[in-house]
Amino acid sequence: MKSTSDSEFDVTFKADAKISPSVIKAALPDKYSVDLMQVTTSGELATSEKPEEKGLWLVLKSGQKVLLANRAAKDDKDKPEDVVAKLGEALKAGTKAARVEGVMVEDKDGNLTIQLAKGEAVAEKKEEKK
Amino acid sequence: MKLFPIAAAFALFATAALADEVSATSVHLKFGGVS
Repeated sequence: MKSTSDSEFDVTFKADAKISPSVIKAALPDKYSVDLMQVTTSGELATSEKPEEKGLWLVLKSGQKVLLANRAAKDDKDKPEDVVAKLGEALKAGTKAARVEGVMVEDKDGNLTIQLAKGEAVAEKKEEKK
Repeated sequence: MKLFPIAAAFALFATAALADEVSATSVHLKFGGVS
């Protein structure tokens, strides 16, 4: 863990650690709030047939299921890349593993979304026999 | 020590990933309430 300013930290968690803004908030003294949680993580791309689970999801190694969304445009000139479509194409082509970067947000029901800044499908490693 | 409460909290619950664990989750946090 390292501090990048008076109010910012970089922390690296094990891939199987369950993380969310509420988990971080719960670990902090009451007077602190989590203003921004930017994550870089990997998992398996998935879609769901449940009507209430439309969209593209990333299942983290912790088992957490996170909805993937493109980040919002900062202004009229900003055109965010359609990372969700790119990852969706990769999933259709048979690549499940992906590494993504973006802001993790949590709604009042505890549902997690990553607003993607970047994302790429990654070749799955074949296990070597020893 | 403005950061001490936050650092202490993380020391209690966050396990640093092993350096060779490429699939680890990196998190950049910005806190409010730090004064």
